[in-house]
Amino acid sequence: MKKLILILWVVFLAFGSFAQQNCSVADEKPLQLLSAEMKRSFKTLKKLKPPVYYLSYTYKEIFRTSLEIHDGGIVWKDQQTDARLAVLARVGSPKMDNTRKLKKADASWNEEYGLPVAQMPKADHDGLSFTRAVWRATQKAVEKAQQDFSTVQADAQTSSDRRDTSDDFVFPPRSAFCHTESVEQFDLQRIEQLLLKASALTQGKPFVLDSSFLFSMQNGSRYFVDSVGTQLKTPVRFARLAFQLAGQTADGQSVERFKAYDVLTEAELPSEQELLAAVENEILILQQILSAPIQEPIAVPAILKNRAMSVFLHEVLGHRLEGTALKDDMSSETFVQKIGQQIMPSFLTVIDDPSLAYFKGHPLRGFYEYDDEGVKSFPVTLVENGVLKNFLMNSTPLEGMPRSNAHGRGELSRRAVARMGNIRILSSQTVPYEELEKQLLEEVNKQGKPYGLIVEDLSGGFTFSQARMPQAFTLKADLVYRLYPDGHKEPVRGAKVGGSILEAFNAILNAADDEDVFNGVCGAESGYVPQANIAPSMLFSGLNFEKKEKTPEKLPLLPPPSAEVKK
Amino acid sequence: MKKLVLLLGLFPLQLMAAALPDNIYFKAMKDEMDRSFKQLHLEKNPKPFYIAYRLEKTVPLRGAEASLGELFADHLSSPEVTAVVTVSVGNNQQDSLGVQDGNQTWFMPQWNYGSVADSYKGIRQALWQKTDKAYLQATEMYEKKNAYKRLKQLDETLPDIVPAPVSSYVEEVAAPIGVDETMLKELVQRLSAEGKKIPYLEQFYVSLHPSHREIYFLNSRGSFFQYGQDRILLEVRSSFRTKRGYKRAVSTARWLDTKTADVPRQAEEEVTRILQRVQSVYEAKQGQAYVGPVLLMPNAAAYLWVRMFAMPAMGAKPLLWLDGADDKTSGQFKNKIGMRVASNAVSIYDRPHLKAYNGTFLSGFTPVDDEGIATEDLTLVTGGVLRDLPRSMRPAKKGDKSNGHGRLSPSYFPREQLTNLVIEAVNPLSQQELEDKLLERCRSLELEYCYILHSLPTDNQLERIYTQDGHKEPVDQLKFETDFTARSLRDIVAAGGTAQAFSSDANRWMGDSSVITPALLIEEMELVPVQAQPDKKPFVPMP
Repeated sequence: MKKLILILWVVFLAFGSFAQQNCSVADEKPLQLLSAEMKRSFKTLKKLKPPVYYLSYTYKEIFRTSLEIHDGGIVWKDQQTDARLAVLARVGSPKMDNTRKLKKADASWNEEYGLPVAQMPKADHDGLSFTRAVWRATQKAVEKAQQDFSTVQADAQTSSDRRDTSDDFVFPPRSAFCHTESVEQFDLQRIEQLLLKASALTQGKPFVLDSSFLFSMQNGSRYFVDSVGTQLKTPVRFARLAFQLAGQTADGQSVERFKAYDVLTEAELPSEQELLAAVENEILILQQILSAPIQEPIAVPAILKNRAMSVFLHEVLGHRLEGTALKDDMSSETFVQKIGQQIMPSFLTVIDDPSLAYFKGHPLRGFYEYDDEGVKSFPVTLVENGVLKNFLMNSTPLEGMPRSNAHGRGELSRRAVARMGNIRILSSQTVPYEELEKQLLEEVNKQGKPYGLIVEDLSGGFTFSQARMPQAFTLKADLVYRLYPDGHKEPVRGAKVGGSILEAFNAILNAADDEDVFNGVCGAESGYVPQANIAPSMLFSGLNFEKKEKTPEKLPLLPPPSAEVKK
Repeated sequence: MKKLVLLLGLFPLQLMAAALPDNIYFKAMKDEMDRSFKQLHLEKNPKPFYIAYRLEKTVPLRGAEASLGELFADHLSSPEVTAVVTVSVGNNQQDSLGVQDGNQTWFMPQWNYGSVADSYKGIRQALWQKTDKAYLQATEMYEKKNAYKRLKQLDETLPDIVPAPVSSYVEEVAAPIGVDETMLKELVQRLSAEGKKIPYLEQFYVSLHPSHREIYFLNSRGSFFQYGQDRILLEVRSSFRTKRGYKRAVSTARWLDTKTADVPRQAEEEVTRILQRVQSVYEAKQGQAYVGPVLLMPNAAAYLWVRMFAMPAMGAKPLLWLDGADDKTSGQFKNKIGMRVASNAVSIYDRPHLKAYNGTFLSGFTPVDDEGIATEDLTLVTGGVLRDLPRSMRPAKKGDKSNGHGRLSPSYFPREQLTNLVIEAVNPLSQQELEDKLLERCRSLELEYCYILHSLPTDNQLERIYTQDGHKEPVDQLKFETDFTARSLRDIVAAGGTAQAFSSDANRWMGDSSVITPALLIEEMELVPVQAQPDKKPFVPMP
């Protein structure tokens, strides 16, 4: 089995991106201004009582474009350069600092993980305005950090003992790295015309109650300096073209279809023909789902197709392997004591590799060279042959896991915590997908069930990770087909997939050889971070299907005007 | 080019169609309105009786912003269209509006913010979605209103609606007036660099953001209007620590009228004024408890007028609350016509047709209200007595007729509200005369000093003026004991001859509105010290 992993890594390396430094940190004015102010401030701040023992600046200068089209017209078109700075101050000592999660508080994520963020003027001329803004943001961050540290001290003295007594912080290694990417040019006029054309396809379809066609692009740089001496400049870039369609049944069930293309260059965008065909196809699927029978609650053998399996991997397993959350005494600790234990069938391995930029020609949204705490990214094996090996770690250690494995991630205005990058589940035994469907029918017959279910798409849902809640998950199944023993398929609507965390992965019987990528943006305590999930289709001996909620909203009395026009 | 069309009598929508401006906005509104009237019907329920559409298109133009002499990056957004839909069922005697549920969802117009495509199809789609929702909401409220009236045996003789002559106003909507971007950049860069001259100023930010907006309205009674507005938002923000160690921010935000403002001069004046205030607040001493006369400078006086006049004058017709509660959203002036509500030192008017005042853009400009009735100038208070109030088509008492002040806001269907509130001194005094009068009253009360208030309510900026020699001294850390009271208006002793205008965008409770006010001398106000400790000193000296 180890051999398999090795081979897979060779494949990974072949597709991976190993960007070389192509600039010098000494030539980057923002880095120089930030470093100089860091040096000047830290000299004083480390002598305060209580001291600031670690300080970092993250400055992002990003050109953003967004375009949204509905019903043949532009709803939103925006172009701006966003230049913002976030300051993280750690007060106290690595043993105990201001970031420790309080036992006796129920603060919002924003209160608990929010960082002061300053809108920045350009770093031009004498740099005074820029430096003054850095100084102001630092003052604000340190004031809050000192205040938070007093609260942490009081909480520690008056609360029950902590299960995990490891330190609150481990210093990241010192790094210097400079990578600049030229700004990728997208022909916005062409994209606008393309989206207008695609949007026109929804006209005259009375069941499409709402639709939107979107393009967004970010291109810029992230600058990071800290009191350890790290200086980094790395590119921030991605673009997404997406569309969504919405409909509703008379009994109040809302149905949505969504498709996104994540790219780095314009050449990777779908052609006009491809996009229009995809829109037509999704319109057709929407219509089919709206007239499909309701799926009653049932437990049956099922296949999660590759995209659905990617979401399942992310929601059901990935979030529970995030180290920062595991340190919380209020968390469910599902996997805390399971390092070295079998948690899924032995033919399965799970890794997270943020250093991977592409997979089978698809750009991965979870790619980064250094994480948001300045640690160089590398692949991490989380589960090997079914045995739990590692957690996703940032610079907050856990007992037995004293170092970051470069998964400290967060949006600019939030303190980074351990999050997924590019998570992937691999199977050492695979069959062609058609064979997996045959195996599904065999399982249906074996269990005497009326049919099996094939889930093409899973979307948003939630998984409880707090100890006070049931250890369960529930995910919206957007596109589901029944597969009957005679081989015919029938779409159904209104289903959710739910179940228990520990049982879910052990119900996997086999996998197909059709790995696919699901890129997305994941929201959690450290905000929204781009992320990718890779999985093949998998066969489950049983999954629980529940009913999706309905809306009390009545269907519109009149058809959309576009349908009226075509009459 | 401007055209004011006043049409007497009620015209069906079809008859008005020919006169509608020829553009996608009116075409989309008319087509969807026609379709809704013909086809929108929930079985066993009344059909729509009244529909009104209002579209507001905002076009941001390229502006400039800088801090301490350094520009911020550019930002440019596309036009944004907002659609507001009002639907009512019933008839003039009883319709589905003028009512609130009580503890349940707030009954308000259907707004579509930020997802309306700026195209014929996009607007139709948005109007369709919101009309449908508004109609269902209207039928539900109509039933509830009827049921409540039966339950309470309310047999009102007053109709819900008193018809009034419908009106239209069409102003050619010209292309946005661009402002030279290079000039704006140079200006904000130069003006914000002025902050460098004050060593303790931590931040000094100046921005100028031009924008253009277009408003289109059509209702089923045959009223319509369209007009465009061009304005520039001037913002100046400063932050610093006072000599006594308190963090302070002295800021301003003003809408300038693109057509009439001398932007560089007005921006320069505002920057100079803010920098003077900064220096004054920096030196400020701790204020002491005080009871006595105060001089409210126009900025502070505007706050008084909004709190104590514009809000009490709103909602002359109370809403019917289905939980039996009194309507707390209806202003206190509704029962005070003919009573003394203010001092006779000022006269108070509402002038909806004013577009700008001394280069300041007036957001209260309203040629026709949101019920489609031509707005009238109102004489609200003379000789201290309340003479009139804003009125909509919903009568508060027998004989009431609309004076064109039924205005939409995010939380209300058209409701009685002011537009441009104008305060004029009966015997206008110069600034010097006002200060002399203030000192005279202070001396008569044997006070050592009195107060001049520059700004309210968040960043109270005050000055003491000493009775002995008239010298002034900045003071900090004082607040009102009990905000303003109804008494404050009757306590106005004198008013200045020079007024300033202040505009605000529509908030949750009120539509776009403006106040034009001079400085006011108030007989008595009570100020108390703010209990606050100095802020922490900077850990590291400012670079």
